[in-house]
Amino acid sequence: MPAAFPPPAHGRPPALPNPPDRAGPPRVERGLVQRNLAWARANLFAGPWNTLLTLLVVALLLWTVPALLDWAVFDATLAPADIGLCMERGGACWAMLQDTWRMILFGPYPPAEHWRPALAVGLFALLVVISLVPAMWLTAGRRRLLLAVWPPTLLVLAVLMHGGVAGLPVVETRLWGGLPLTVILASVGIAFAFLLSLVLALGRQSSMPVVRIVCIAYIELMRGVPLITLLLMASILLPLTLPADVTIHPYLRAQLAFILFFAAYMAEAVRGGLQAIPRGQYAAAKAMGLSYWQSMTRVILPQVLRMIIPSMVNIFISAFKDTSLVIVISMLDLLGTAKAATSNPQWWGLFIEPFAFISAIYLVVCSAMSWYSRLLERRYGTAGAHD
Amino acid sequence: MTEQAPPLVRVRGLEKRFGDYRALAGIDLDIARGERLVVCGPSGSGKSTLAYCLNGLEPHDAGRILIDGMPLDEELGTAHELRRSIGMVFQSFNLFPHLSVLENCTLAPRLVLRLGEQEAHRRAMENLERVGIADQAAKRPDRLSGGQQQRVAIARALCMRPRLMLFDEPTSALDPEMVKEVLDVMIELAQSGMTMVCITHEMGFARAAADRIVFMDQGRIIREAPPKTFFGDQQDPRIRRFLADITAG
Repeated sequence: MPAAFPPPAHGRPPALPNPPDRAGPPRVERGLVQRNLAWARANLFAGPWNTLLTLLVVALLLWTVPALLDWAVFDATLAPADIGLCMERGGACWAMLQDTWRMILFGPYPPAEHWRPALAVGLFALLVVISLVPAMWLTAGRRRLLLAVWPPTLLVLAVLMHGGVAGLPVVETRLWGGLPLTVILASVGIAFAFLLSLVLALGRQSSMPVVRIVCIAYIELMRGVPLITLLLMASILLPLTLPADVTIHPYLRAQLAFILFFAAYMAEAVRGGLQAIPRGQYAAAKAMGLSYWQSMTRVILPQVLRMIIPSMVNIFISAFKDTSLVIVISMLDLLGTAKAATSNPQWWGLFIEPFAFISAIYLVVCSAMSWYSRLLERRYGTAGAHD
Repeated sequence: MTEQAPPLVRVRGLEKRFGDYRALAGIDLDIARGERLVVCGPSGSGKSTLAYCLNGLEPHDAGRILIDGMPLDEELGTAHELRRSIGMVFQSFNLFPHLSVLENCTLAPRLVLRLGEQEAHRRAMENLERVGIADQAAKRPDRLSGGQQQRVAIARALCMRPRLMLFDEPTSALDPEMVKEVLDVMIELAQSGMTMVCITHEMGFARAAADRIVFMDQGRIIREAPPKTFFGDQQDPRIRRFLADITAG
């Protein structure tokens, strides 16, 4: 165990007797050990407070990491096992995940057809990743290719999920759940909310009073209401207010609530960017004969979007995580299926494992988003900040 | 410049208010085809407002502006149409920072004049060549000095093949050592027969290139005269003070 546990090894250098002498003369020897010691002195033991902080962190790690490792690794139980064995060993019951992971990922989707949502999510992720590579946007040809690939791919994804074509059995949407549902809610929600937010932000600074007032009222209303309330209203109140013969699919109601809610937040981020654009940019675009929409889409918004990457991605991340709130309207997204797994009688009483599993999925997706946002900032962040 | 030809720009009784403030208090002005007009005056005299009204960036409150006989009017929808043929160079350059120098020059010709990519590119390079900055075409504007940026802004306006060029204090945001490179471009442009309205305090430029100098104060034209007469006899104390101020500053 000590070998797999490096932090304490780094914790030793303060015990060395001679750091003060070594700080003065120029270092001649540049061996691996010396370099590491120099690094440690500069970064971990630069002063009394720094040293104290380092020691505190090391103590915290010593206190928590072994217990965590015991639970997750040394006392953990893998299949084949049942809940009795897990309880006996006391650690993580990974056997439960080995048994239920497919149900957590795909929910009530028929098990024989699980390859379809798996393939759909994989295809979607692949296309998103490809589309996010900046080099794919460099030439007009590549941009056209991307735009041409998206619609048929979305159609293929829909066919994969729903079936009814090419011998694929139909799987009704009420059986969709888990990761595909989360991905659909989040990506459709973010995409449409983003488009709506541009309209709202432009409307908010429109010279037409009615448009401006409607946009302001909308944004303030949406920001003033908790998302849960909105979801409950969309799922309970909306059907009551509609004529009896009109029904909106529960998924669509939830999706609509997400779009409407996050569009308001994004609109405020866009508005912040719009206000940071110098008036001269509008004047220059107008003076050259560009129409309102031409100047917005070609001059103003490209600068705004570069500027608001950090706040926008922040909203994207929270939108992705907040899709889990559909659990309050009994939709089985990733959180819903994890919760369902906890009520599996075979594994009754286990909570941490399924939630740890979906946390890992959320963490990976959200970290990827924030990593990508930093990449974009490095690439575009400085342009458009001044004129 | 022939005296018989109708003026390119005819301004009659032009007024512009900002709230209670009368920025323009009745301007009458004719600008002939090919004429080089320098507009000067103390700050707050309304000269920038005049430039912004001449291409409809600011709608005017009273009076008329005729460009080639066509009334410039936001409500008639002619302002947008006429603006394409009026180039404007701003004090703060106002280049589009997210586009390269070349793209700055091709954007409007492609979107507004619907030129093909090659034609727009050719025209942009031609005008960048003319202002001596073709070698910087691939750069972003923020990589360029102020003088270079202003020359790009002039090239960008020229790419629209305007019949009138408005310059709104094109050198006043520049470091002194960069003023000359921009003025040189403007003088070359003036010699090529372009109709120009230059709002500037550069009296050297006015002497060298202007056909007429218009002096404004408090939203009115106080005096119009060719450079020789304007600089020669100065009875008006306001003009004397103005000239003393700018040579002192």
